Amino acid sequence: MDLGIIGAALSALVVGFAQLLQQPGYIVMLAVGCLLLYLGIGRSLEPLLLVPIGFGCVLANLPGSGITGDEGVLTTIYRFGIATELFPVLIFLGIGALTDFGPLFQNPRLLLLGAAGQFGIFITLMLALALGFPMNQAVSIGVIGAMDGPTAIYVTSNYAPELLAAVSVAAYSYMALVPLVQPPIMRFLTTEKERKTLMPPVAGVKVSKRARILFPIVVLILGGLIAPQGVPLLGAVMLGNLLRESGVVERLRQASENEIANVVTLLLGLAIGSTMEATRFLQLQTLMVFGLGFIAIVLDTVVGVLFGKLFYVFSGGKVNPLVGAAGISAYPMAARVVQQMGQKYNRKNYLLMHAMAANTGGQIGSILAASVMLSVLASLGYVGLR
Amino acid sequence: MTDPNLLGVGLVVALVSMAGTLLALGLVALCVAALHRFLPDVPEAPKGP
Repeated sequence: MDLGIIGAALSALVVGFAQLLQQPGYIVMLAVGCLLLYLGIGRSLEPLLLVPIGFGCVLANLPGSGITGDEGVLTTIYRFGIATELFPVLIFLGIGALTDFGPLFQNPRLLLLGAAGQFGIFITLMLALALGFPMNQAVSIGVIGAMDGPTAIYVTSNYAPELLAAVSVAAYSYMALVPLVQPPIMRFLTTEKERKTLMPPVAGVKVSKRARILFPIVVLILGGLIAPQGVPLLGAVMLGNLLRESGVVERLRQASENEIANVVTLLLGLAIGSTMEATRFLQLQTLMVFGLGFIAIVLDTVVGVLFGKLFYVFSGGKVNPLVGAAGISAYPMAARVVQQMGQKYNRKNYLLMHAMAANTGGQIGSILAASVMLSVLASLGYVGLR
Repeated sequence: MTDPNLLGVGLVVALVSMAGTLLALGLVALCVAALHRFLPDVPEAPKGP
């Protein structure tokens, strides 16, 4: 037998190693993929997302597999679910089915904290523009401040798909870091007296079934009229919530919050991971996106707490300003952070339900903020890919 | 270099979006308060024998 043939056949076994050594970027990205897997598995940071994203990243950076090529499996998943914006919308269906908006009824004023917690989006938009990013990319970077993965993916896949990997990984990573990022800011912006402010425990405010059923319908119509660009997102959340509250479609509710949400989360994570190919991801721009995204979440907390201080002043010292930090979309982590800090400074304080009200406000607020921004941009002639 | 016109447009987008978000959530808060006020939870009357 010709030794050349044997050599050629054997070389097929090492061609992957050769390509890897020729392009060290792939080695870096394999390490990044493994780091995401470690954070998800070893540190339990957003494991539902970081595990499939990390694995998708590893898959995308094995050279020569063709898995992210034109006909590749991951490309097919991406085209099917991300490019069409189907996955983020379906994720929101599950979120709506899972979320109890009941705490909002206890103190509807706290909903306004959910607006304050989104201001980081708009300030970061300005910062990104000042750093030279074009409008479509600046919008996508700013929306990391929504602290809301599906919204960030929805906006970015529409406006700046080239930033999708960086924006979505930043959004999910920073959501997981809320318990580390928020407390120092909360301490810095409040006095000990303010942190000790006692808020009366919510003694099981009962909300009628009719009010709970009408809530998603009213919010959808109202939000859809103010910001029509956000109807797909808002509609999915409110449909999910209506399935939950109506009580007559239990099977659909369960499917939305379990089967649909689980399958879509897996495919969404893999599709995002597939966009983290070395040639696309290892750029200065990616670092800038991460830096600006971090500024966005810090600003969200800063403005939220400052709004909380306003509430403290105008309520005559009855609202603990720490609750303002929960006005972001990271649910229920932000509410838990507020509860823990409130109890640390005043053992009698039980801020959880108040913080939950602000936190669910933050969930609606993040969708509305992004929707309003997209609608304003559309009216100025800046339209996405749709 | 950053285009000053683009920054101006960005500022308008940011300010209008902030106001719009506050307005939208303010209206939602009003609706929530109205729903809670006008559709209170009424405990079911105990059924007779």
